[in-house]
Amino acid sequence: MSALARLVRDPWPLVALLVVAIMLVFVAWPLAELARQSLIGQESGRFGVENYVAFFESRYFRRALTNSLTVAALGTAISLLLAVPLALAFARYDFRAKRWIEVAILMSMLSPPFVGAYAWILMFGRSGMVRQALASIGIDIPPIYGTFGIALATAFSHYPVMFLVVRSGLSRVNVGLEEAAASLGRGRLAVIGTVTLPLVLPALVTGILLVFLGILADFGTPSILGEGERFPVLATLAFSLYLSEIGAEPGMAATTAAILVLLAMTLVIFARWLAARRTVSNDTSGTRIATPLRGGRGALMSFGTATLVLLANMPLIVVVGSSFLEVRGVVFQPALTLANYTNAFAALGDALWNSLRYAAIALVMILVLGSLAGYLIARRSGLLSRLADLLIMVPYVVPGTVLGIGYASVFNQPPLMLTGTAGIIVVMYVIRRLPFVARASASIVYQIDRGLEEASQSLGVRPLGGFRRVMLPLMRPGLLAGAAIAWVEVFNELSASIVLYTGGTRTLPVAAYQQSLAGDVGMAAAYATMLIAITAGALALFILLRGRGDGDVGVL
Amino acid sequence: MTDAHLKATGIKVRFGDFTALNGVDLAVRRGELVTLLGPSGCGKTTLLRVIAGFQRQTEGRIEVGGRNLGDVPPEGRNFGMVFQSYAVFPHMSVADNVAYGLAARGVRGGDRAKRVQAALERVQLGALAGRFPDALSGGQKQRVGLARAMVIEPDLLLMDEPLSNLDALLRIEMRREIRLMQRELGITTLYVTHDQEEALAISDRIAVMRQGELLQIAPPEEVFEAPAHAFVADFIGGCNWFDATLAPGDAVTLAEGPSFVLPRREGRPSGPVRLALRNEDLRLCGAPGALPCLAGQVLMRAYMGHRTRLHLRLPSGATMDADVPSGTALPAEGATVHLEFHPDRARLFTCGAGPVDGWRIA
Ligand SMILES: Nc1ncnc2c1ncn2[C@@H]1O[C@H](COP(=O)(O)OP(=O)(O)OP(=O)(O)O)[C@@H](O)[C@H]1O
Ligand SMILES: [Mg+2]
Repeated sequence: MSALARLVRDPWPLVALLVVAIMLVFVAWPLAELARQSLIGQESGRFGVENYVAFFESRYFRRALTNSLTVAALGTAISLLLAVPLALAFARYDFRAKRWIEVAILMSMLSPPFVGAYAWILMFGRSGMVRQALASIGIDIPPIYGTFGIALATAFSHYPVMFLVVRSGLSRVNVGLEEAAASLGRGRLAVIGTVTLPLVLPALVTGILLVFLGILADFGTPSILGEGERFPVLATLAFSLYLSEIGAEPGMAATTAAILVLLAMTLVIFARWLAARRTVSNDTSGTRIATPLRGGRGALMSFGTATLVLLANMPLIVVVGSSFLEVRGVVFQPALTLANYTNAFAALGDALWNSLRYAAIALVMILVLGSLAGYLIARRSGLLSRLADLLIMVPYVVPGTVLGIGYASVFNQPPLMLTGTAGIIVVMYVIRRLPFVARASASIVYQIDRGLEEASQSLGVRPLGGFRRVMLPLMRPGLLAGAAIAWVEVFNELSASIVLYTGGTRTLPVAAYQQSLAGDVGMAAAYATMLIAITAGALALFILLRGRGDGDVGVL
Repeated sequence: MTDAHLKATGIKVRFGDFTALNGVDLAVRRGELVTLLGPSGCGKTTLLRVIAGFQRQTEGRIEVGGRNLGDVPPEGRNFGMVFQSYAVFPHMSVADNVAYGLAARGVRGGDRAKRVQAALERVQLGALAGRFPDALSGGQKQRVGLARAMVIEPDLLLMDEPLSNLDALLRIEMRREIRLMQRELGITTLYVTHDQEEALAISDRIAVMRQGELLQIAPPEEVFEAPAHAFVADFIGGCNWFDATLAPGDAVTLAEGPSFVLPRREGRPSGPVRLALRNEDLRLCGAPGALPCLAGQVLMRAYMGHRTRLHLRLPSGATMDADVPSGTALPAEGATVHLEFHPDRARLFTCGAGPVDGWRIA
């Protein structure tokens, strides 16, 4: 059989080639360019580590690095405090309104983190409502800007990830093991320490890694709560350096970006190493069934978790609520109005339409590429698919700001002149979300019996036909869940869009961010509310599409 | 074999340094059911997958009905496959599962529906055509798998441990059904199992494998009565093993004492040999008589229905088992008994370190 005939019969190598090509052009190339720029001295123009030396010699830059690390560490710690008790309660007990409380937890993921940050400013900013109210009764608290504020805001927007990961880890711990330990005379706490903890450690490590990386990469929150240059973190520093270098010698922005990526990579490798060293095989046969709590204990559990979650959702409630309040100057008045929305729509331009269009196109591409790539990763062991697997994971450690700067510096000239187009935003959306959807679809494929495809093939159907008629229908529910999360992330994307947008390609998150940073407080709240509403609406649509399946969202 | 339908010659499969199949030759006649039998990891699945086209052989050639399958992909081979995991499409009804292969062959409309229904009736699922797999038992799922593989009228039916996920009683019932159906339709079948009883019951011939090699392929009686290799004797039926010496003149002397003379035959090698006796070939006797006889102390008696297994210690300290009819006066535990055997029942195998080790002495 000729090579061509073989490809017609089984085109998977072509698909692998396509994925590899896409990742090389839209991930490897921009990153390589940033690496190159970072290695060309901004002062001398010579090749070397001059920029890195300059970075570490500058107090201000060093401060950005320590700020990033402090904020991420503190934010992760707060997320743990919020998420672990909730995860324990959800994995171990059934109580009233559990499902609704869960939905409320996931709500925190439905808006870009900077919306939460903005809400904190509305409450505890310089002229924040709560702060003023407290001041009027003689209690003075400092405004929320800076380390603690950023950590708090990011923790509140990232803790649902931790919750999901830890809960699924906990519910996979074999009951038998805990019962065995208890029957051997161990007390409750001792059982948790000696049996439960080591078994959920991998999940805990994953959760910590995801949240830490998320906070490290977050651009909007530190930019709003850090008051621009006053409290720099790596992501905001890279952005402002990039802006200041436009038209001048590049170098320091690229260096900052490179340091950010290296930091993220180091963390991932460290977490992998930790997980590999500590992996205990957990026999999951005796999966835990949650204990129903009735009467007073149940009510207490419902009340406790609901309060915690309500607290965590406070920022969103405040934003949505204040979007309907009258504004005088920079202060909300206790009077209801729709004026903020009228103003917002008047100033909206194409932002909403752009966001919807770009996100929808990107979502389709993400689904197609993600399902193909996931299948490749799980089922094909050739060199190309292994390369695709490796490359597809790279964006995972590349913060949006970095990717944006990379795109801006390679796609601003032929052969690929993309800056300023809608295409560059769509491509960026696709690349940023692809790893997650590809991983999710790979993990679905891993769970599908290989025999099904072989059965299909032995019955006379070619590999691609079998993929379409057997694999895709079985992957659909998982893919839809992946798509729902991809939609949330893409629709709310800010940190790369802020680098890449132009007048005509402004998106809704960019508009909301700009208003929150330096615009009208009422309009900012209105934009943020629109983001939340559209995301939630789309999510509800996905859930309807998916039918009454189990609420398993474990595809992060 | 000249009338072979499936002919695999010199099949070698290497995974890196590891040789999973080391030059296997296998020929299956039209309409025949051959089982591949061997311990876990011996390469049964690998051989089946090579024949199905899912695994490329490193070396070797496969022909079916005179056609070389070298470059033919699995979907072009027209083989039916039945899987241990059933591999029933969970998102399709029973009828759609069975229709899948027919649709791929362009069979449409009423003809397809008729053939699907006929196939389902043959496996007694006629009434469940509209069900979905998650509402079927394991046995029913495997029936769907069977119907799906049979309905395309395959040139070869490949089954990889189709019954090993079913419970014991159902396994026996289904293997009978498979055998009856296979005979009735005359489908050439290769059947993988690691259950020797299943292999004995169902096969026209059994191919016994070990570590990527095919040691013997023969009808069940022959594999049981005249194992070609010590491993075959041990794997099928089980044996007691004794060290012995074969002297020129065909006299055999067991290290345990007894000796006897084999019927005269030219060209038997002399030297150390291994002698195998099946449990049921040992008979209780009052005292040593004309037949070779072993003495041993009964360590344990295990009642097994028609027979009782005596676990004995020989004077040398070695242990062995003998299955004697239950009901007769049986020795008490601790008693010393005599057990005789007929020289015809003893099988001799080479013993040494070379590649010929373990082969039956002609
Ligand atoms: N893809 C592979 N890569 C490396 N080694 C393999 C691969 N597939 C099979 N093997 C090895 O080849 C040997 C034979 O495997 P095979 O699955 O054919 O055994 P089997 O006889 O079917 O065993 P079982 O009764 O357990 O199913 C095993 O040692 C197995 O580990
Ligand atoms: Mg096998």
